[in-house]
Amino acid sequence: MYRLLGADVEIAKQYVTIKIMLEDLGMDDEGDDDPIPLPNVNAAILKKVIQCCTHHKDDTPPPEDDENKEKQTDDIPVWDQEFLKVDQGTSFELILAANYLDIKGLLDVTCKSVASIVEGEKDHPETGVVAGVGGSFGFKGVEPLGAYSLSPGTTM
Amino acid sequence: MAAAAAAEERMAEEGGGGHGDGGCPSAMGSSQRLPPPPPAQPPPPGSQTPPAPALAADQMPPNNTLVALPIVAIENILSFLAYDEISQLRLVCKRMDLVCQRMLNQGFLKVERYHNLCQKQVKAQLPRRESERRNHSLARHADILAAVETRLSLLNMTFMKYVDSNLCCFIPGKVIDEIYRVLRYVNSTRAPQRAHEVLQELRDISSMAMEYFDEKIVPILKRKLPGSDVSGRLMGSPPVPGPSAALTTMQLFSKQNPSRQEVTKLQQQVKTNGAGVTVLRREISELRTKVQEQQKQLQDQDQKLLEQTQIIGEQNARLAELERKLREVMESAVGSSSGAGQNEESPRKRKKAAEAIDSLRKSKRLRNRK
Repeated sequence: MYRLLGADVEIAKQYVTIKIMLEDLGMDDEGDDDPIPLPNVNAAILKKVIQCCTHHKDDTPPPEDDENKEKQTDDIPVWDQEFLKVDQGTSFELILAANYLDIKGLLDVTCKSVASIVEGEKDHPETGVVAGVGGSFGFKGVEPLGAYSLSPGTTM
Repeated sequence: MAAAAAAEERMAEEGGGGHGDGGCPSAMGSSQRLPPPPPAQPPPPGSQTPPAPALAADQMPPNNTLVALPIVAIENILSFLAYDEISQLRLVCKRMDLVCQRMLNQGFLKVERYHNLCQKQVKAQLPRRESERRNHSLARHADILAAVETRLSLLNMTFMKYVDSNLCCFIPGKVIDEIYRVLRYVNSTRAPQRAHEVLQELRDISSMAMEYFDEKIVPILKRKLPGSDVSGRLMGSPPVPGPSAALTTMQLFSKQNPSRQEVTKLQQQVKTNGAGVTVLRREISELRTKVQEQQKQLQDQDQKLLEQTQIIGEQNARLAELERKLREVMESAVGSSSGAGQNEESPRKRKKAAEAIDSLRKSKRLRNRK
């Protein structure tokens, strides 16, 4: 369990999970200083999440997902692109944290950035997002496969 | 797309078209938290990383991998990719294969729904009269959507029965992408091109996909259909080839041994037939009894007929005799009235008349008796 100290409650309420804890479970009472347990998020990742949510605190809520609308990976805002220039392990940790805390905006932008890397792997297989050629993505120890090479006799 | 289809064929043979999550745990990462690993250094350029031995099926992948994310997260990531790319990512590992299969199946259903929505919207704006519809600005939109509907029906008929049986997924992701492209084009354009121009690519790739699927993949999937278990199991131990050397051993064996389902069906049919045969036999025996009774009746009637014929014959004979006698009596009566010798002949005449009367009485008695 990690203590969240000095965080703006309003920012924390962007995290729907925490919002539910605060409002629906009666943890929002004045004078109630009990810490909110977040066992699935470590401190470093939580710090990054707070940083992102602080920057986006005045954003309008995103529109409802239209499943028929074409989804693009090249429309990530510049600030978010800089924010997501982290190692791939941290990217995944951010995805897991956004999923747990139910922060739709952060989840979408992190998934979009990973998807753009997967798309780019076609042209640059050495990045090894899915195939696991070096790096921390994919399976270590599996023979380099490459998502776009279909050699026979490949073990999976 | 052909390469992906060839890989699909291989996967179908190896049993990769169905379930089976070998080697990848599900929902990793969200329940057990490990401290984040230090960022991995990319290998120096130009160096060759020697391939390490493959992970065993029961070994878990490291936490910091794409495939170790929860399925919800993987699906979220893949939702930003084209379905063609998703169909190719199936080759990565079994977990990815499962996720991608699900997305491809959902993708086909979604594109069907989208098409229905578009068609409904266009039809609502079109006039009802056919002549007015032809000249309307949305006529081409309606034509294109009708052609897409045909393509969707064909694809549905080709793939979905196997998808519903969990034998494979909707394989051609590129077709889904193309359908989406056409539908978005129709939605966004006021004056689209003619239907055959817009749909040429879709027609080509969907026809190729269906043809390849029917020719190469369906025969493999049909072996996995329920009811082919027996022949599938027994195929592992083929018998010694028999006299028909033209057939392979497998073909010969499968032709001689019907599936369990077929055997059960045949047994049921035999039972039904047996019950029917029993009923028929009973009816036949009843009919035979009736026929015998009727034959007996006919014989009796023939007998009676014979007897009556005889009686009639006798009576006819008697009648003839009586007539003869009467004639004689009449002649003698005429003769006696004309001359002498009348007295000598009168006792004879009286005797003959008496005999004639007796005969008449006898025949009357006989008639009464009968």
